[in-house]
Amino acid sequence: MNTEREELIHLIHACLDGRATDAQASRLNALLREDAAARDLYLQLADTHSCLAVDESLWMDPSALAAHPDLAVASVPKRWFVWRPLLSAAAGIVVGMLCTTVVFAYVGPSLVKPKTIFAESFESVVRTAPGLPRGTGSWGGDEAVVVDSAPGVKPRTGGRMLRFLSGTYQGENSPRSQWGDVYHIVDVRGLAGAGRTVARVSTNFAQAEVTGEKRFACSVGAFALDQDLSTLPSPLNQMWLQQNNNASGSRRAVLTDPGRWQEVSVELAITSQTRFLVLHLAVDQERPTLTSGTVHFPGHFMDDVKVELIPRH
Amino acid sequence: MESFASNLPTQPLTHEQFMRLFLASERELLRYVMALVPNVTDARDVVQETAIALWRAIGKYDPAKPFVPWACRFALNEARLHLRTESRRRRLIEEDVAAMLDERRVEIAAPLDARREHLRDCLGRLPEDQRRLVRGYYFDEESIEALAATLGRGAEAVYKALQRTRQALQQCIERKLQTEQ
Repeated sequence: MNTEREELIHLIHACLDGRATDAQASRLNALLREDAAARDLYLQLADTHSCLAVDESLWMDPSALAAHPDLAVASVPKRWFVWRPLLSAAAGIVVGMLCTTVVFAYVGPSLVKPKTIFAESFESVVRTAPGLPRGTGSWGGDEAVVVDSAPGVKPRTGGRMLRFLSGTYQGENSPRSQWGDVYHIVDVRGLAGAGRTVARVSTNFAQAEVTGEKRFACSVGAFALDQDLSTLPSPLNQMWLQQNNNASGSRRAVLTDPGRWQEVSVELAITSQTRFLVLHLAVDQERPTLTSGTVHFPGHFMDDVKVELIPRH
Repeated sequence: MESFASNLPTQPLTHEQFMRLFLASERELLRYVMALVPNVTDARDVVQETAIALWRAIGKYDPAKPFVPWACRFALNEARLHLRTESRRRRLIEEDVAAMLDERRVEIAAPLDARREHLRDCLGRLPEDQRRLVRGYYFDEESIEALAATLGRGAEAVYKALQRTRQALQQCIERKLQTEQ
């Protein structure tokens, strides 16, 4: 490796690491302007930099990756997109989008032990109430029931688990839906410290044997609300949550081996002003795409929902 | 409940449908932005601004076409806006350089894809301590100083170890590409 190339690599990494001095940044910008080969090298190193940070499939073992093909690296778009000014029309802007923070798995590691503030294994729940809950303590959403066992799937812990039944609920009667959603509100008032706190929501999904070409996925999401519950609309709906949250996160995974429990979790930053977390847990029929009708889930289960708070320093 | 996929292609997206599309694409958008805005926190801010711009323009999105390429147009805009104001203060690449890089990125998209595949293999060949270091720095977002404290080593030594590991990764990828030719 020649000295010029070594210097260029050093400059690029200094820039990518946020450690470049003014002189280094100027030098790098000058080199990149002048030299096509330097631009190629920058793109190679920057692409590795972003993949290592973002592509979680790189950090999964090969067997896990085979079970989660949806996590494989996707190509960057292969077309050049023409620069154009941002549209300035403000009409229709949803204010909640301004506050939406999708955290996924990029939050740093915990330095202290997480504190569990909510755990549900469905031992004392019977079924979900129709529609989104407007208070703490109950599960609501699409039609789902609590069962003892099912062919090929046993509760992960305890003696009971939640079974998703339908992509809609009595009263909504959605004509087309492939998502079975359940919700729960957790009171977090006074639980987040003055510093940075991360809420980790996790649960476990399992499916029974699925026949034919159908493929199902599961997802975990959460919305952090600063509002008091008395201000929630009635009925509460997902769009309102998306528009009025202070932070939100969501993670989705394809369901694979029948009978095997898969843990899925998501993290989002909350503040001392956060009052409630609305948990949104769902399964959906990924393939084939539904063009009409409502999904009735043939054997899809959830157990051991947990919310932990993790102070970050 | 009702999902975006159940809509006919000619219908405009609802907010919920848009959110589902955006959340499914967010990781790829973040990776796209990070090539120009390397700090992951800043890149997330850019992606969030992108979400706002996308929602403003959602009426122009054709649901029959892929969402990510359309979204990347907006992500590029937002990244350039960020660089316009922050490049000198944060010692980043400048906006005109970003435009040149993005143009070239499209031209070498296929080789970059090949490098990514080799990266996976090369990462798996690293000694465990080097792999942990790379994971801690990139994926777990630990600072060099935090890693140094954990490892009981000096920050400078840890940074040099990271540099050596990145060099090893780069060389491994180059070797594999040469073998292919």
